[in-house]
Amino acid sequence: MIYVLAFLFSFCSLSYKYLILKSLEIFPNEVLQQSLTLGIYLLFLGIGAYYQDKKKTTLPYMQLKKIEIGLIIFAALTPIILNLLIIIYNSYLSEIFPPSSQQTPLIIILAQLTIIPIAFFSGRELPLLFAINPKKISHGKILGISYIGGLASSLIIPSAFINLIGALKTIFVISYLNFLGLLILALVSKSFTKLKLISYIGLSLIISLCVQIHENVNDFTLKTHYAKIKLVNVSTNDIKNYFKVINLHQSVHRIQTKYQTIDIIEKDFNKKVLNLVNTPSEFTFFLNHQQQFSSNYWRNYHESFLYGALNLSKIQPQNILILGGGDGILASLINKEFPNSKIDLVELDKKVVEISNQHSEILNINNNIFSKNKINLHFEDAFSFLRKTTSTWDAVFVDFPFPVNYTISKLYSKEFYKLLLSRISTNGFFIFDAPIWKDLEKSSPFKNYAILASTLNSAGATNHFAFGPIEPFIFVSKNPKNKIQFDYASIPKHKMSNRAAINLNKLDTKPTKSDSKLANSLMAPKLLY
Amino acid sequence: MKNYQSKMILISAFLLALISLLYELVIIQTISSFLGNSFKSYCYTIGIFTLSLGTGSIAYDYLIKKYSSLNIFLCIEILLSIFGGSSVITTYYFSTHNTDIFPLNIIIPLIPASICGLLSGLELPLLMDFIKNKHIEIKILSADYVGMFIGALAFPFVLLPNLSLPSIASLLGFINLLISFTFFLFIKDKNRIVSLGYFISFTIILLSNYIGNQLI
Repeated sequence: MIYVLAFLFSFCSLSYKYLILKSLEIFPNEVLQQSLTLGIYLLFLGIGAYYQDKKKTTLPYMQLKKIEIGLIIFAALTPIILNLLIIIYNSYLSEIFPPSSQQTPLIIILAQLTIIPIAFFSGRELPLLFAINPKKISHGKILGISYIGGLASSLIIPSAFINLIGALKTIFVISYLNFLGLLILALVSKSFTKLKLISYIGLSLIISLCVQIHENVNDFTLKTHYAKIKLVNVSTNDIKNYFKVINLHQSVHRIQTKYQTIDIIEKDFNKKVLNLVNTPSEFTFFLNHQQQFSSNYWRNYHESFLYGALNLSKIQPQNILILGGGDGILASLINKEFPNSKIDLVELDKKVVEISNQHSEILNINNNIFSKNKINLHFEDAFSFLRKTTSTWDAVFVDFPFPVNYTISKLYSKEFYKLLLSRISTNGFFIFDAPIWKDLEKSSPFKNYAILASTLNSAGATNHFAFGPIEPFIFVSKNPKNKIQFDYASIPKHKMSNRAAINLNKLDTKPTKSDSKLANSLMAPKLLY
Repeated sequence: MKNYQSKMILISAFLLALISLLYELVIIQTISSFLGNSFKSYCYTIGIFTLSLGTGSIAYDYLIKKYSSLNIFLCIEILLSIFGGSSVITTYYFSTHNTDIFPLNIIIPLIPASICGLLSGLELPLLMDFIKNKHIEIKILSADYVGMFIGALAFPFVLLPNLSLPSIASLLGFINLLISFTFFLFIKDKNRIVSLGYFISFTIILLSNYIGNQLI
């Protein structure tokens, strides 16, 4: 039984740590979060073990049971606490510490504090397990089983639970598992009195109650995130009004996939609120909290993307590749323009395509493109697709999410562009949307542009052109001798909305500097956010 | 034990814990560049690293019966500086020359992480072995925990924004080597094989740094 307990307790402890980390993905800078979580967890694990070592262990069974009860209650409360923290951030603190500000680490540190009690209690578990060891099993073996429990958590949590029910709900599953460990402990200690049985039932009810509260709080948290309404003053009246206004919003439709979180904001999400101010509502599609398109503004982005590239390239592509863009909007526009061209689309997440092939609002925009069998779909990571393929394309449209973290940043790296360039025909091109406009919010102007330009240059893609004051894009011609400039007279005005035409302007400001040290590479990653 | 010696052991405990955690973070970052999913890479690396740390501390019991603690410590540090200092390029190699067969495709890139974890796991029991004083043992443990915490802050705030991953690994390997060499200076009968180990390790670290930075 000691082995089972050692396995269960270490499995639960490490799982809590992973799940808290995953729950905080709403904040940027995953490396900071991963490092901090690990540092704080290990520090307090050590402090817990040290504290237990100092404390006299007279009744180890009793102490361990108390610790487990504390751990279970705190773990069950953690999703609610995290939701409350996010609500406070969304409603008030995000104005003071916007996600891209230098102060955001302070908020991340605050959220990470929830890991402290879990690590502290967990640190006390192993010394107590040694103390209750009835058959005097070697400590090394107990320690070994404990490490295996940690390894099992590392393999199971990211692969199984999170993909099915999301991180916060998984915390409850782990709480129940922890509860099972407590029951085993009670059985081993042979102290199963009626009173204790009632208290254990009470504990399981507390977990169930927390699940219920979390369901409601989580729905409210999502609304605060997407409603974009801020508290100006922290007075009782303002808070009451804030709650009223947020509750006027409809629920956000959240879908958890193997790769990401998809949030769909339906048109009626803020209809009741917008009716008050007479503003039209819109349908919006988010991947990992980053907006991908909306029913009111999709034209501006996608038309600039396609017609901007065609105007600059002056070619009629026969083979076209779209990387990302599982919503099918760009594919639909391209298919309309080149009905006889071969179009390949590489999308990592099959679920995005499934949703885009079912949701009526998206079908209206993408003209039901995936049902027409005009697009060759490849469900794969773009990097590995390009590595494996030997085909070449005349035009490649790169429609990835913005590199808000190091994982996506690899799709904006020197290695990626080098690979991409090798898959393009001699007079072909590739184009991608560039997070240049983020520069305007920063004190160092055109920092991102300088990084991207340096990255492209070091990948051998030296002939590039940035355009779009509204939605910026970088166009890259494989042939270094091709002259890249707009031919405004040939812009098909009848096909484009006015806003998109305005977007077809060269970005005036050139990168201040471009050198290989600035290049974003897998070995020296840069954040472009 | 003299006062300066116990201070040296305390500083070493702090630095070795800091380095150990930084190896872990550097490897996570390297693996996530190739495996794609950052969260999965994080969990897998920590899982394997923790398991190896535990295996290392269990292996200590067997090693200490055969060899002196100082000799084991010097060898461990030389090996760690070699494997840790080159961890980025070896992880890169294992990731890019990987198979598609599950679970080998996950295990193979984690080989450098498990070696570093195993060697790091031996460090703390060895340092404890140098001092038989219970009071100082607790101080060593504290230095270990604080070291890990500082390492967790240093990586995102100082190292990653300023240095490439191969350079970070090489820097850590070099500090490992320096700590080992400081202990080596106190030995009266210096072993030639250990001296050769320093030379080989130093060369490998420099080479790894050069090759790694050529990949940028």
